[in-house]
Amino acid sequence: MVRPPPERHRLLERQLRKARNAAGQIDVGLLLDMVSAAYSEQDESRSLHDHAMRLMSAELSQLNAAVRSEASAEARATEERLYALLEAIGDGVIVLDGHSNVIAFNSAAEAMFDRRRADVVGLPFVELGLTSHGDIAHFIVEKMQESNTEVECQRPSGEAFTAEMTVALMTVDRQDRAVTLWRDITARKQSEGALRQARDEAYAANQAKSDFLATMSHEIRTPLNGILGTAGALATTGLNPDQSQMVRVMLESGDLLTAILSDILDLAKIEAGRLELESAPFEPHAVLGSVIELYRSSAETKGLQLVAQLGEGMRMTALGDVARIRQVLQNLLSNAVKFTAEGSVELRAWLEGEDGEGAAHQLNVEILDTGCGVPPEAQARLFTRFSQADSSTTRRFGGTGLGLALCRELVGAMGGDIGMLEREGGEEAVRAAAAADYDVVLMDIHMPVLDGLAATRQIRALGGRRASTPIIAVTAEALPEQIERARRAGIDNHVTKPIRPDRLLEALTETLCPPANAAPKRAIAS
Amino acid sequence: MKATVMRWSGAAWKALDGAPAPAAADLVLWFAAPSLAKDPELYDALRRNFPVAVIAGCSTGGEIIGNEASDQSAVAAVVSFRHARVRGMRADVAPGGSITDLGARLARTLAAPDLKGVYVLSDGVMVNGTALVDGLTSVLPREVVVTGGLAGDGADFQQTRVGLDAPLSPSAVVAVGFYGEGLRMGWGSAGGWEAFGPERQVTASEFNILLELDGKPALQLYREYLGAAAAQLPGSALLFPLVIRPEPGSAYDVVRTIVGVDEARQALVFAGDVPEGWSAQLMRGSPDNLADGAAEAARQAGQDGGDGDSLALLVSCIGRKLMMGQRVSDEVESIAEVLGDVAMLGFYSYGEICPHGFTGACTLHNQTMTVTLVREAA
Repeated sequence: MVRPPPERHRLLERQLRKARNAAGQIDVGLLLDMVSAAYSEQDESRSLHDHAMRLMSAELSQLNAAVRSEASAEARATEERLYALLEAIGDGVIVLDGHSNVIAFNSAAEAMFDRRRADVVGLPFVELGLTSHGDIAHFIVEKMQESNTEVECQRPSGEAFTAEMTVALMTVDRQDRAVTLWRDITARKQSEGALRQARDEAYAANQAKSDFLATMSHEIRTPLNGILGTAGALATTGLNPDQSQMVRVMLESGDLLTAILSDILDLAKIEAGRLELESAPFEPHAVLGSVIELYRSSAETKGLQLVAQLGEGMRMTALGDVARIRQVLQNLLSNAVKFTAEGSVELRAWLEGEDGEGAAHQLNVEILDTGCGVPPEAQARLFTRFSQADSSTTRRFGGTGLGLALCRELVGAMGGDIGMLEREGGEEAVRAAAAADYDVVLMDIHMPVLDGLAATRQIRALGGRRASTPIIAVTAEALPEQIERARRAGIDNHVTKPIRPDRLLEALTETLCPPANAAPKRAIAS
Repeated sequence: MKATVMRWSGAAWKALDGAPAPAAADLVLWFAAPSLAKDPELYDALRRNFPVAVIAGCSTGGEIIGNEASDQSAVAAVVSFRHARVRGMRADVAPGGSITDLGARLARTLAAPDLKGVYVLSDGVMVNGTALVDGLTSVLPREVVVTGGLAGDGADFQQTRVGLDAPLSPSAVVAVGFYGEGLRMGWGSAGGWEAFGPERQVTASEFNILLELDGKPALQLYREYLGAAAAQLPGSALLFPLVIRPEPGSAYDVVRTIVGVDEARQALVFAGDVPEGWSAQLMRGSPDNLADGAAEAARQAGQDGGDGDSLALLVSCIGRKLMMGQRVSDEVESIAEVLGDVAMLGFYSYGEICPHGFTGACTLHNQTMTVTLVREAA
């Protein structure tokens, strides 16, 4: 409000008026008293206000300090909670504000970068020289898209290390924040490098071995040919029976050695990546037929029936490497004839795939025999090098142990697959159990296959007295769930391989002569 | 209407301008310093002069006549209306009785279709002004202007007196009703004080007794702020009125002044309620600011213009007088400058009654200058 300036001194005017007596004269003493009183009123009033303002200032600054300390205590508490969280993270955590200044740096980051929190908080990240990347803000935005980024970092000592960085952008109290997580992956990178180097070295060593074998095979083959040629010539020179026998052994051994060398050479070629497959037209029917005929005489000599079942379409023209196909089939057929003592060897072949011009077809060949079979534990090793089903086999049947491994490599190179299927006599056991009364059946169940379990189920389904013949499982492994599965199939008891007589006796006793006072398990279960 | 103001000379009532008093007066309002208020001769002289007038008056903390504030005097306004009528009612404060009920009773007695305004003079130490106004306004329609004030006892707060058609006596409340279509009742109220320091919360109070501010004894805060002037409590507490609001920043604010202290409870007694939970802030004044406030009140009261004779009834707060000292007349002169040639009479009070400037609802004020401008259409 704007006051009009008083034209005169209002108060003094009043004081003069009041000091005037009835005669119109001014009582100077009274006037001075009034003026003095007005001054002292003014002084008192001013001192009261001064005092009040001082008090108020003190009050307000106290309030201000209280508010500030409350606010800063709250901020401190929040910060402490945040740090407690960050400390709990094993990875290095560096939080940057919107200007890429460091606002948090946890203990793991201190250890990783060998920098103290107090020395880095508040400073621009780019000036710390923690990483080889100058423009961290740009870098962070760029790397936002990637979950893990490898960053080259360095410590004040100059020591370099590699860190994996993950970044997350967030807004805290309307402030932009970049939270970066750092993990030192130098050791991992080193072990990865070492692994790579070891692998390369092993590969190189293998290559050297293959090269060596290929070279050696060639080098051995030359003098071997000389020996075999000479021995062949020797055989025609009218030897006595003992000498002929010795020359024959020499020739057979030489042939075996030649075959071994040939297989080694092939494997070495494959390993060295130098196997070259031809792609020429051929008729599968003719190729298979001619291979079968190769083994006709040896099969007949052993009294084996040799059967070929060639399906439709086998007379079409196919493209492939006939020599290699023949090599695989000969290997398989020779094994079948070799390892089958009686019965038959059968070759079945058929084509699978779509009809039509240029359509890809798959040639399936199955060779079945009634031979001794291969125990399951040996099946896995069957197609690996230098191994036979039983190391004693070599002594009985001969062979290099390279044949099937070579077959697998060749078939694989042709884009195919090779394996074996077991067809055991489960059925035989069921027939036997149905035909006669047995006190107990020891059922060899190859747990992973469950054939023994299927046989057990069939015996239990026979009906009549023989369906309840006690069955004890003979297993290689006995995991609780497998035993449970066996029990559900109808197995009464089990013994684990290798069979120990005392355990077998115990199992027989448990199964055949259960304690008289044993309560039925069903009762317990209910 | 015709209005003349008179002063007690010590033996007789004399018109301020020397003119003879009107012979037939309808209303006489008079205000006397505590020492003169006890003297029955002042009333008797008025009654002799104005046998049929309604005569209402009270004791004061200072008197206002013309454009000057005075002490140790008695002043009166004599009014004769052309058409308007007045009617007075008196009620006595019963120990333990409800002041709100008393106010409502008075209002019911005065209520009439042509009632334009009610001028209230109340005992200033026995009556909670807020309760009295609540009672009056609970009955009266909003358009009836209720103004007036609480009687004073200098700066002593011991005993106040009020009277209607009789010498002044303690524990009375008098209400004068103004009737007539030609009447205009203008009103204005302003302080000129400024709030300072932190906003505090009323943490403990009982009606008009303030026990604690921000959990600390209220008296202690005043003692600290008054410093040496604390020796003059309760009078000196008037130097720091309290502005209270329902909540910090609220536009509805009321100024409260202290009328007593309760040493035993470390409490302050106010002329009106100080509700618990409200926000409170100390105020300070300066003579210039208070005079500006008074001028603002005069502008509010006179804003609807008007013609012919009029009477300005001023009720100002004893606290303002205490603060302004010899310069207290500045505020009366400020009003005279605004209203011009108007008969002015008034007193320094323990509480002013006037509608609130913001809400328009009648309420009890403290530390304000309130102006009631009574006019009658020619």
